[in-house]
Amino acid sequence: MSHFGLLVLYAGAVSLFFALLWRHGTRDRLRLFAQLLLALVLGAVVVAYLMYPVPSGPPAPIP
Amino acid sequence: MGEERKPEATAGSDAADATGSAPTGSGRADAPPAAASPTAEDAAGAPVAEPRGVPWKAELLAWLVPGLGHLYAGRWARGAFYALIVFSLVAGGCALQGRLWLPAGNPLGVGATSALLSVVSLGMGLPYVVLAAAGYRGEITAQGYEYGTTFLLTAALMNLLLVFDARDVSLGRKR
Repeated sequence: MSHFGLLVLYAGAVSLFFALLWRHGTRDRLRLFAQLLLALVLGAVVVAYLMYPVPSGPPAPIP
Repeated sequence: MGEERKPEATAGSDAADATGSAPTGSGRADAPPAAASPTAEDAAGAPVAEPRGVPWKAELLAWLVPGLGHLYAGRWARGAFYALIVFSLVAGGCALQGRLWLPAGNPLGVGATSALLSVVSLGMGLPYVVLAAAGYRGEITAQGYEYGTTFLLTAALMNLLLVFDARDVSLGRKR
């Protein structure tokens, strides 16, 4: 699976968990799920673009 | 969800609402002593649902097996969903060869971060013990190592939250 696919999968699991934990009622849960999913995925993409000019440096040594 | 109920107006929440403008309750001479002087903690911890089961048992079961505390407290659908989410993250983390943080056997030595993450990972409960006993450690050279580690740590943190949630459900503080 691609990096982005894993990111979406992780965001989906976290969003579902907190929608179930923090809200009652299907409508409220669906709304929070959508909000969290969008915030996590779009936030990650925005942060990734902001980090794009930052050099990553040499790879870390493997112990 | 089918298990959800409408919010109930219990005596506790009524007392909290009635005393919202007069925290000391000094204006109500006919009120019983318990309702006359509620503290902020009483209002926050007022039951909103029927207490279910023994709180410490719900906590223990919730920690041991993700979702089991909610099943014990009668929240079957929610418990099943929680179990599905946490176990999916654990399975995904293992499939990606993420790291299982252990108190000992760390190739980089045992520092404060390693100790903290080991304690956090213990929040996974029985899956952590089973994985550790089976010799699972993760593979740092695997392509999905970082994601797998994140999945495993998130599953553990979620289960810790579920322990507190199961306690609240068992005490009737949460529906």
